[in-house]
Amino acid sequence: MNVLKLAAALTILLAVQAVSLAPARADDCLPDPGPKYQPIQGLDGSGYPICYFQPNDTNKSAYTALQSRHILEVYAQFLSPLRLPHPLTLVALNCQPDFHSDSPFYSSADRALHFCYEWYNDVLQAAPTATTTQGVTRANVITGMWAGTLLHETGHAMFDMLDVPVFGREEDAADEVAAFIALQFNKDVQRTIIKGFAYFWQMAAQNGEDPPTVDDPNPPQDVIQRCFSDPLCAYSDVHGTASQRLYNTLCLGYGGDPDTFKDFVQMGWLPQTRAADCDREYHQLEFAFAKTILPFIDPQMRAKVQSTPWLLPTEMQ
Amino acid sequence: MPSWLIGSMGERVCHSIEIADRAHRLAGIGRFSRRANTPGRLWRNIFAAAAIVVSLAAPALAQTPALQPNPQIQVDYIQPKPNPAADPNQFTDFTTIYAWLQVRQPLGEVQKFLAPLRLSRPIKIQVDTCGAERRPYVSGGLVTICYELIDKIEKIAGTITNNDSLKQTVIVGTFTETVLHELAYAVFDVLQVPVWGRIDDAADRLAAFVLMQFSEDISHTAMVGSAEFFLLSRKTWTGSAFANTRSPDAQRFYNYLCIAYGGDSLDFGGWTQAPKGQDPLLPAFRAQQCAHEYDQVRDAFNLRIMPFVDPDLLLQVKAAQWFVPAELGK
Repeated sequence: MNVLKLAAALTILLAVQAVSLAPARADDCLPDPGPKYQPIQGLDGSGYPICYFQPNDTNKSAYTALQSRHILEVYAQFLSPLRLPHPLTLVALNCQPDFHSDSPFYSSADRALHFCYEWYNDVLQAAPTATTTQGVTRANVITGMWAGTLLHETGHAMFDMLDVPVFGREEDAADEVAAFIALQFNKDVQRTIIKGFAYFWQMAAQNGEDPPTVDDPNPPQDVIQRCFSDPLCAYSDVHGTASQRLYNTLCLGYGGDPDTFKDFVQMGWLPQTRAADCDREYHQLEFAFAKTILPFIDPQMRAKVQSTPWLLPTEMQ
Repeated sequence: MPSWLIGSMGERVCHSIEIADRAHRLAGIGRFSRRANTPGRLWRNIFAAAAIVVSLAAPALAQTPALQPNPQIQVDYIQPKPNPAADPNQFTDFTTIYAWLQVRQPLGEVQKFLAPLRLSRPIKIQVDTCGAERRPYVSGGLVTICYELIDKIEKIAGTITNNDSLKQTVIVGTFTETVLHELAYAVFDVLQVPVWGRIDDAADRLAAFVLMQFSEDISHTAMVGSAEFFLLSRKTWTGSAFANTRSPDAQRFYNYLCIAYGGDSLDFGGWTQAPKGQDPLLPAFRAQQCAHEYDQVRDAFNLRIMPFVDPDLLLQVKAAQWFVPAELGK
């Protein structure tokens, strides 16, 4: 990811809101080439139709990796306890060149989560090849970023379809959804997703995605890129800065389970000054979830989802 | 950065006024004529000359007595305390502020402003010496406006030269925003409002939304004044500074612009315009989201706060004249 991609992500959001996307038609979706997905019994994912679109040549490996993992089929079942008033379509597609972005997105125009094949390669590139000083592994980042992104976009879908009152900034709120849901699972899952998601934003910050501190002597021609190269205008993004997203994620992990995430504070990854507020922040989130989303979640199916091993051992190494 | 994006927002305010004024003149309204520079007034002088301001205020304030103060809102102005670690001049400044508060009684206005709000338990709001710009609200505790922040507003406004009207707008608008922002925490707490997103941003968005429900005089003063304050007080953020629970002033600046533009794209439409070859103050990609952002806060307000608001009293609050002409830079 870089500034250009981030800017493009904004463009795509606007484009998607402005243009009515045609709902995915079954005829356009690739059939399961097999081995066929074996659904988990007792989790009805029919409210979440799926569609893998034909990948272009560049994205064939991404399609193969995602489809062979049955990522959409699995995620549809994961979402089965959530009772949305309308079907939410899960789509894997080429986002370039039509959407000018690699980033997954939710579109209210077609009530669909769009997962870009390009994103798969971006995450692979961002993942460290060796374990980092914070103990983050390559598997943590790949799994955590994918899971975190799926959950983040689902957050947007829930806010839209459930008319969730959002007083704060929606992009922060969607990150909160991702962190909160991750924290409802066992410690291995929690740490994989929280660490992977946080590390991704740390890398983004280190790669210059936080707002610049000085003027660009040669500002880009493109108006959005020029904005993101400006020390003031860069803050106009609806998303938090990369570093804000890093610390927000670490804070919710620590606030939700201080024992599991106390090393974040001990190693100085999460500053003590912020850590002191994390219990309050997590409980604010827990309360908001309970009041606005929990009524739409089937408790029996939720329990089954929480006890299901969604991630493979290799994905949590 | 284009030169007109540097420094005070005053030029851009003028630009927005030019555009809006044109629109209003076409409609035969011309409401922005008040933006002509008013006679020079300094913030320090405003405090010192509080009696004059109040005398100016008398006719306007006479329009609010029908509103009874909300008995659940308790207010207090605590005498400033000297801080041995701080500049002694600061204590002098606080004493001047305290004297102004005693005369102007702005928190008394807040008691009336919040008359429609039905609260299950009292909220106490005070002005106190904090040793910092803010004293974070703790559930069930007091709402505190810190002398240090009022002092900062004064000093930031003091950096605006050659535009006394804008200076006045920053002082009045930012003080009003500050009170509503700090009160928002207590309102969320007492009404048990679920808050998605960072609570500091939520408090900003609620304050901005509330301020947009009033006449153009009020909304313009509050939104322009607050945005200008954030612009002028912004600092460079790097690394772990982003761990702060509060958002950078530059981010808050755009949040305010967006709620204002989203709530009234006519009055604030100038922010999306720019002279040829320059970029607008509010970038198009954000501006296109602002109606959605405004609607999002409005819907949240209607769902979670409006049930605790007396609609008849609300209309009286909206009809009242809350600022005196001098406070509006008239």
